[in-house]
Amino acid sequence: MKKRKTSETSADDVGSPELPPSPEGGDLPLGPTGRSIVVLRPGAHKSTVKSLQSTAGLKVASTADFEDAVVSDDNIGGADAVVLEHLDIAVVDADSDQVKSLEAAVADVDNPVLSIEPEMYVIPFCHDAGAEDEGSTGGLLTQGGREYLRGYNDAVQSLVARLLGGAVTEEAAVAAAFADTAALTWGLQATKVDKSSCNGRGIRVAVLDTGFDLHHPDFAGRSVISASFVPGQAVQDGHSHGTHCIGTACGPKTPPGNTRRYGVAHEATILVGKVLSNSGSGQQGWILAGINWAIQSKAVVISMSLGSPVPIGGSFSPAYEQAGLAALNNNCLIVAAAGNSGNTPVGAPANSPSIMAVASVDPDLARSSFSCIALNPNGGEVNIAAPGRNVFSTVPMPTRYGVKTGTSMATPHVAGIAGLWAQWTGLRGKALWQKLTSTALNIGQTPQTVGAGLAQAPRCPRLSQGPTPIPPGSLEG
Amino acid sequence: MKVDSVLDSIGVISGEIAEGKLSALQKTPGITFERDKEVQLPPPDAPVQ
Repeated sequence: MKKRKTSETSADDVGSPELPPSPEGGDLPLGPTGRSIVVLRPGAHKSTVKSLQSTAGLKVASTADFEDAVVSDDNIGGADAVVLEHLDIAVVDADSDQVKSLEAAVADVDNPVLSIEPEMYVIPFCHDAGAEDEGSTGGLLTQGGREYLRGYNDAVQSLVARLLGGAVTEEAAVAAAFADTAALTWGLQATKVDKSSCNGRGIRVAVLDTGFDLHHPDFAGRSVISASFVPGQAVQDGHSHGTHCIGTACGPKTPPGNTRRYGVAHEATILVGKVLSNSGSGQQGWILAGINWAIQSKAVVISMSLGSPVPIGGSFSPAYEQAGLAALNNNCLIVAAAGNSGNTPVGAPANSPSIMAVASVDPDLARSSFSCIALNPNGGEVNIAAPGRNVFSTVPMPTRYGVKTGTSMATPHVAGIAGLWAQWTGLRGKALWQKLTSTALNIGQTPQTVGAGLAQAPRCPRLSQGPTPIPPGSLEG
Repeated sequence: MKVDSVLDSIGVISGEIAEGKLSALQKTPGITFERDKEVQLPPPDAPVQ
């Protein structure tokens, strides 16, 4: 290890920062640790050492002074602050006057300090079945964990807003709560589907789910291709989940009567793959068979509002990943629900690197509390978000319409929007994925929870009247 | 092995095999073996789908 080069020019030696006491059984510690997190201007770590000394009278160490940047409380030798070189962040043990000095420095554009926030305790996720919160966490967090995460989320959002300046603030203003109107669902408004001239004509959208009410009057005259991969069960939806998802992805522009519009790609060809039974259960083999069929049927996008939980540290399924890669290589994009277990990892198959994971947002564009988050690397990321709370769409007759909530409802929004982008741009596969994420709306939340942001439909101002050519091998007739 | 389906487009074969023959299957070059898993949706009236 290199010799530590802690600067010691402070007039007031306030001693070494002490770590807060480690919890040993009993309640986990909550709230602030007593230290502060200082966010610096990018690349400002060198000038920060001087600034922290001059502004707040602190003794400062930098990770740049340590071999492999390995810094612990054992080797900082009485420093009040440690500058994390590559993160442009400093962890500071400052008294209240010093904190005030740093807060005052935030307003000074020449000062390298961008913001100062209290450091919070970090605790591991743990299972506490007795502390489940309305199912939103799947029982994997204690009450303390939830409170910590709320505080963490607030702090991160504040930091992002400061780091990105007015852009996020402006977009956050967009986050005024949406609501269903007589003409439109809130989800179509939030994703700007109502402003789009695209309709999905010539695009095949596959929905692999519990099937579809093939006699639903809202879809009379629509081009529907279907197949069941559930032994002994016809495509007809005996659950309602599949019919609801198809309604969102491909429902009509003008539903009969006075019903509000709820569907995105209203002229897309609908591929119905029944891979879940009428009781909502399915085997991976059926799902893979459905993907295989959808690819062979020239689907441009496959929507899968299904999945199973993945533990922290868990990996993706090689078979789903193989399927996702095959889809991309065949000009097809698979989107899948991130999962509804709250602050737990993105489930399978959404955790496959080649499958787009979709999170849910509420009408105020905050991430839905049940929506799974990115906790695992290598595919476990959240890629994009869409409306998933209180989504109005079709259900099997005679009920006809219903409202459902979940990442299952967010996913077909993205599938339909992908269909619009595919029609408008001609992009397919990975290029279509990149178009979706690059055009997503920044809603001021962490990528860990909403990925690139809220999916947005293209406006399609110069959409030609003719349909996008349907690939060879079409099954339409 | 009893083959249920050969999924050409995604390069997957599904089927059944006796537990005692799994090790031989896993040693086959060029394949990755994975046990079938089950997916279960909540009931239609569940608050979160």
